[in-house]
This record gives sequence, structure tokens and C-alpha cells, in this order.
Amino acid sequence: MSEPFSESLDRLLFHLDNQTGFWFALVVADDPSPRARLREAAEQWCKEHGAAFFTQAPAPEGLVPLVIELAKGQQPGLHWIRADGAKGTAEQWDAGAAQLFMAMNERREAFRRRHVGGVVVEGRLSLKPLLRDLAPDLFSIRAFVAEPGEVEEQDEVAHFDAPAWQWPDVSSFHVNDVDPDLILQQIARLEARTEPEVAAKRLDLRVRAVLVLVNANRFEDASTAADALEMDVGRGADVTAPQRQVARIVVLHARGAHAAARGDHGRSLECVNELIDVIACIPMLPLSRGQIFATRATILVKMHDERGAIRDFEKAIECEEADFQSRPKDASLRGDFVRHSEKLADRHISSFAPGEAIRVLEHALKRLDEWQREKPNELRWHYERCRLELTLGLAHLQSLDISAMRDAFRRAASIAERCARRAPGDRDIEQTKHTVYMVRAVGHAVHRDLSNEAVDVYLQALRDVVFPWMQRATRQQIRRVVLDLLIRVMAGIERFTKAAAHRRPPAPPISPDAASASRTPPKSP
Amino acid sequence: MAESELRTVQRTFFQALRDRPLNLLEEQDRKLYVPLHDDDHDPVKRLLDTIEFSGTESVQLVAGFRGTGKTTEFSRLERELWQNGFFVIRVDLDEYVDMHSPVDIRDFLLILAGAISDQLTKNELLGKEKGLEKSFWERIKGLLPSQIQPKEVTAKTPIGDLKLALQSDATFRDQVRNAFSGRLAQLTTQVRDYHQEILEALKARHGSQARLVVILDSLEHLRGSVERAEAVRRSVEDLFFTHARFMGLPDTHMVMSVPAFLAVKADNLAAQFLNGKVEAWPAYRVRDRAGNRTGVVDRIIELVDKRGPWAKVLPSKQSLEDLILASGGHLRDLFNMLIEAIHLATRGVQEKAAEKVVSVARRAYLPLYKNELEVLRTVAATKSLEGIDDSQREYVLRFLDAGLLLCYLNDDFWYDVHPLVKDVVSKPS
Repeated sequence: MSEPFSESLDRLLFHLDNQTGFWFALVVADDPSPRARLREAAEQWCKEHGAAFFTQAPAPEGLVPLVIELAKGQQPGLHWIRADGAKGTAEQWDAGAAQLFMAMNERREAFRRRHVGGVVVEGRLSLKPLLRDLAPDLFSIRAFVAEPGEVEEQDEVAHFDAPAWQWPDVSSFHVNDVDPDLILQQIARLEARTEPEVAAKRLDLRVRAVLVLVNANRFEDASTAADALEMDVGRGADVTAPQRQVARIVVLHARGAHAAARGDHGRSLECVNELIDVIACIPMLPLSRGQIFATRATILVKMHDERGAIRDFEKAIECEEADFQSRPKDASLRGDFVRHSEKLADRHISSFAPGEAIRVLEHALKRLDEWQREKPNELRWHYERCRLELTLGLAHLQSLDISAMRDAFRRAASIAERCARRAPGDRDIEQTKHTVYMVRAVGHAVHRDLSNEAVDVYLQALRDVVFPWMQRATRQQIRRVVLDLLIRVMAGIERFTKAAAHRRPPAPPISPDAASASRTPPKSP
Repeated sequence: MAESELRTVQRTFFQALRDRPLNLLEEQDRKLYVPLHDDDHDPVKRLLDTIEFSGTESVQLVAGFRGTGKTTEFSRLERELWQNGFFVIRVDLDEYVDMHSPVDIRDFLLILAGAISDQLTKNELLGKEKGLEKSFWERIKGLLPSQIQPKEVTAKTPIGDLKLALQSDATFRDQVRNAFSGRLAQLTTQVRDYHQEILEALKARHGSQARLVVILDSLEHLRGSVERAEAVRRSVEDLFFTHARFMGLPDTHMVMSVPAFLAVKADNLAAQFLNGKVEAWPAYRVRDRAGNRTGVVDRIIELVDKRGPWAKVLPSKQSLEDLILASGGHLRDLFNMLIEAIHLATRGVQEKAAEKVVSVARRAYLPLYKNELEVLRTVAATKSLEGIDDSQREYVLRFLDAGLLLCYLNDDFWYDVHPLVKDVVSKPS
């Protein structure tokens, strides 16, 4: 245990032992491992002392809504907020954390009055100056700032090479704009007013309320707000054509999301179809075009329309490629592009078109190469690469290219392990790692691979995924999973047989001796 | 002392150091209080003197610096004013004003009157019955002009919510501002008339000699974040320079804490008000300008003594003194350091405790960037803001906010870099 870590751990436990009421602390280190160990220690302490512990790991844009929710004081206990991880790039986390600090700074009195327990924010070292400069009140009332990572050189010496201070780019929205209840209150105060400028303001607020409610997954409220918006537009004589279009888009977006949440895919599809007709007419949108096509693709998948889904995912990617011209460095656009590529490849695999899937994935991987050259240590892109390699392995499995499949799975597993070492305790990464282990094992098993490498893969899947899960699971859960597994295996075998019938026979079983004699996996015939 | 007993002592000390302002109207808190400023430079005394010597009304602005015990000192001012026969209304504007949006004279006047009326129900002022009769929030219906129809306000914005609406609803504030656009003089008259009624009610209840002082705390929290910082700053300047004449209340002394930049920037601010004066709530001057230790250190030792058994967490009085000097007289930092000392002492009191505590406290302020260091060096060299050009002013305000720069008072204000980062700043690049 390094000295900075043991000091930080001591300090954390000391405050857990002594603090009462609301308190705030910051845990920063560029290496996520010591942060994760502190988090585990806090969780353990809470368990032993019967205190509530919550790990909060939203995406960067979810940090502010989380703080707004916590300020209501409805969940007493220690909230450990992770402002780092695979869901965003370093810049996105900095911007999200800056917003979080400002939101907490504004609501510090609400926290003091209503929240019983601590709020610990965990992230990279860059969060420290953000707290000091953007949230001086919060900085001033901090319980502690812990730096559990190894310190190469004292900051006071190292900082001389630091760049000039710059404000982070946090201007995309103001923190109050993401509190749906606040927006609804504002609307309530303007109800029944008829002056044109008030009506216009109310219309803006209604649009914002619907969008924010959908983002907060409050679909029913969003739908009600959409009805009110529609009525307002219908009544308003002064509403301009662009205002009507924007309102229509937002209404359809909310109704589609609400229908999807209810499982009414037909209605959801109707809404998105109309939405796509409307967006064809206007250049400026309150929603991303790529996202709208991807939403329709997702609905079509649920309705088993693979062709339609493929067409829409392709359109989504086209939209994102076009947007790269104007926003080449936009991290959220890059994230959407990778995700949609992955989903498109999935659809091609489902349609027995592994070649197409491989083409899409290789294109996305090339893009990732470019971004990783810009920032080789960005966890987000390593994580996305892992997922793409996993899907690539599946595509090769379907095309019966066992050697390429092995390579892709091997790369995916290696990246997943590296990511897991870099961000221990990150649920998304852990889950992806386990998926890689399982899919890899199934891939080898389908080919009746008994080579040393394959045996290692089986053991890894059993040891790291299956057995630990079986120890935790109830009999009921095991029954459910076994049944589900059987159905999937049957479906998989059927699909695999069909695919094989389209192409060529499966490779012969590999004898353990032959495989151990050569570490290089044999190439497919 | 047994370990469990020691832990209890440390725990009690920890709780006594947790951040909260003292309320000197309460006996228990008075026991913890120690006057720290030199008599000559005691800001409470200066405020009190101005109130007593400036006839029936005055406006004093106090530049607030975070963590310097301002709210505690305001409670001392309140106590002394009561003892001197004044009636006092102390308002925490944090509960009324949206501190992160531009402020405007129109809603400020409404808030001012509303906040004062909220305090009137206290027994020592008008009492519950009379106080409620004089509620400004009720009267606001009559003040709101026809564009904001009273019926709708009552229906959609219950009176109890008006305070909340003014604080949290930018749209409502805009409406109020628009409604009073071009009618500021009328609004001012109405607010002043209302205030006159309060004064008369006070005199009717307490005798004709009743004199009122209004203390408005927390206005220094007015600060926009990032993209709104400039707009908020401009609005504050507008409020205090353009509309100063509308802010004072008749026959009333006012004391307002204001953002530090007002005092830093404005030479002629006091002249805007009748009997106006600008004070600052400086950090406690543990060293003088030449760097020599002052008597304030002994008083802070006494203060810490009252909070808990520091000798059980620090090896010597010298160690405590080292922490006090390292805090630069910034009490919140000192208390944070003492909490860290309690933490270290859980493994036994260590000889180098103070050194370790200072090192931990310092790290919270780091890193400092190149351009930040330049500004800090300039201030450290001159002990003033004179060498600061316009492009560096933004840094200074940020540093004053974060406590990296501390403001002190002798006969005039002077500034210094927080002792925790002084070594870092003085290192050649």
C-alpha cells in the first residue's frame, strides 16, 4: 500500500467515523485504481456500520441531473459520484464535473439543510482546480481533498510546466436548464398569460421541459408536457412556422419515447416516421438527426424488420459522417458514430451478412485509430475498441474464419483486461469484460476447439463469470438463466447451421496435441 | 488517558471545529467567541461608530471575503446594536436572491422590503399579529402593476411562493422588471412608504426613540458561473453605482455585505450613498505587512482553546502557532487544518504534526498555473493590487474568492498571497 493511498484511506475512514449531517469531499487521482480501492473501503465501512452507500456512475451529461436529484435530500447516506470512466472522454468528464461543481455550489444550502450524509466526487486530478475556481463556496466547506495516487513529483514544482489556466468548455447549457421541475414551475407561473412575449417565453419553456423530461426518462410527464405544448401551439395566433415545427418535433419525440417505454412499438414507429418527415424540412433541430434514425432503427429491430433497421443505422452513420465535417473533434458525435456502427454490424450479423458487418467494423476501427493517435490514453476509445473487436470476432465466427475470430476475441479480451485494470470497479467495463469472456468461450466451443488456448478461455469464463455468478444467484435466477440460455443456444445452433449451409462446413475439431505444438492458431481453410 | 476516552475527546473537538457561524445572541455561542481584531481595526466597532455618528440614516457596504468569520461578526454587530438601543433586522439574502444571475434594482427593492417584512413577526420587533399585518408579500399584489394581474399571481403563484419565484424563476423576475420598467421612482416611493409605516409601527410599540438598523448578509455570494460571470458583475456594478440612490431606506441604517470586487474596484463607491462608507471584512492579521507575528495569534490560540483540547492533537504550542500563521488568519482554513491534526493524532501525537498538516492543506490549493503565478507574484511583491492590469483583474477576483489572496486591514487595505502557497509562488520558474 503506497503512502499517499494509506494516508487517503485513513483520512476517509476518519471522516466517515466523525462527520455528521452533510459533508463534501473530493477524491482525485489520474490512476483510477487507488480511487476504486478507496471507494470499496467506503462501501465496506458503510456496510459494517449499517449506513447507506450509493455508487453513482452516470455519463458526463448525467452528473448535473444527479446533483439536482440528490439536493432534494430524499436518499440519505453516502453518495460516491464517479466523474470519470468509459462513458466519456477526459474533456467530457472535465466539462461534466465543472457543471456538477457549479450545480452543487449553487445548491450547497439545500444540501446542508436536506441531505444527511456525505457526497464524495471521484475523478482525475484536473478536477481539483475546477473545484477551487468554479465552486469556491463548495471548496471552502470541503471536508477533505484526497489524492490516493502515486505522486511522481510535488505539484508545486511540476506546475511550472503546466499550461496557462483556461476555463473548461461548459457553456452548452446552464445547470438550471436541466431541472425539469424548476422548468415546470416556471411554466405554471406563466399559465393563463396572453401577452405575446410571455406566450413566446412559455412556448420555449414547454419545449425545454419536454426534452428535459424525456432525458430524465420521465416519459409520462414528458407526454403530458407534450400535450400542453401542442395545445399552446394550437391556441397561439402568433406562433411562427419554425416554432410550430420545433414544437411538433419535440411532441413526436416525447410521444414516441413514451410509446416505446410502454412497449407499443407500432405507435412509437408512427411517431418517429412522422418525425423524420418533419426534420427533412428544417435545417436547425433540437435533436440530432443521427439519433433520430438510430431510434427508428432500434424500434424496427424490436419489430423484427432487419432490413429497415440496417437502412436506418446506415443513415444514422451517414448523418454523423456529415456532421464530422463541422464538428471533427466532438466527442459525443464520435461516441454516437461508434455505437451506431456497432449496432449496424450487429444487424448485419443477425441477417447472416458477416462480410458487411466486417466492413462496417473495420471502417469504425479505422476512425478509432485516428482518435487514439490523438489521445492514446483515452479510456473511452479503448473501451469502444474492445466492444468493436468483440463484434468483429462474432462476425468472423459467422463467416467461419476461425483464425480471424480468435485474433479479434484475443484483442478484445486483452483490451478489456487492460481497461478493467485501469478502471477497477467500473461496471460497464466489468460487464463488457465478462461478455467478452463468455462470447469468446462460446466462439471456441462452437468450433469444438480443445487447444490449450481454448481450454484457458473456457476456464477463464467459468472462473471469472459463471462460478462467481452461481455463488451469488438464487435458485430462481439460475432456473431463469438456464432456460434463457437453452433457448438462445437452440436459436444460435439453428442460425449457425443455416449460416454454415450458406457457406462451408465447420472446421474439424482441433486436437489438443496439435494445438499445443503450435501456438499460432491454424488458419481456416 | 484510555484510548476510547481519547477518541471521545477528539470526536468532540472535531464537532466543535465543524464549519458554522456563531450566533452571539446565544449564550452558548458567546462562550466560544473571542474578539480577534485589534481594537483599532475592529470592523464591528467601525460599523457601530458610523451608525452612531451619522444621524438617522446611513449605508455601509462591507466587502465580504469567504471564511473570515463575517457572519459571526455580523451577529456580534447585531448584539451590540440591540444593547445600544437599536432595533435590528438581520437578513440572509442567500434565502431570497438568485446569487448566480444578474441582479436588478427592481426585484432587489421588492426582495429587500419582503425580507424585512419576514422578520417583523419577532416579539422584539412588531410581534406576530402586527408583523403579519405588515407583510410586504401581501402588499405586493397592490404594487404589481396591471400587466401582472394580481388575480393570476394569487392563483398561480401563492403569496408564500413569491419569495421563491423571485429567487428561482428568471422568467418571473423578467416580468417584474418589465412591469416596473420606467416606473422605478414609483416603486421606490412605494417601498419607502411601506418602510415608513414599519418605522411608525415600531415607534408606536416601542416608543418614539426606536431606531432601526437593517443588516443584509450574503450579497457577496452574487457571482455568475463562467459564461454569466461578466453579466452578473456588470449588474452588481449597475446596482451599486447607477441605482445607489434608490437603495437606502429612510431613517434607517443599512449594513450590506457586498462582493469583494466592488471594494477592490471602486474608489468612489461610498460617495454614492447618503452617509455611505465602504468597509471590508479582512482576514485576521496574524502577521503585519513586514511579516512580523502580531498579537492576533495569541487571541486565535485562545479561541482554539475554547473549541477543544488542542494539546491532545498537537505536540506543542509552537505547532499550533505554526498552523495559525500558515492559515494567514483565514479561520476556515485553520479549522480545516485542526481537523486534519485530529486525524493525524488518531495514530498518536506526532512531533512533525504541524508540518504534515500544512502540507496536506497546501495540496488542496494546488496546482497553480503559469499565468496564475505571475499574478500572485505581483501581489506578493507589492502587497497591493496596484501592479495588476485589467487583463489580470479576473484572476484577482477568482483568487480572492478561493482564498488564494487574502485581504488585510491596517489603516488601509493590503493584500497578500495565502501563506500556504507563498513558498510555491516565491519559487523561481
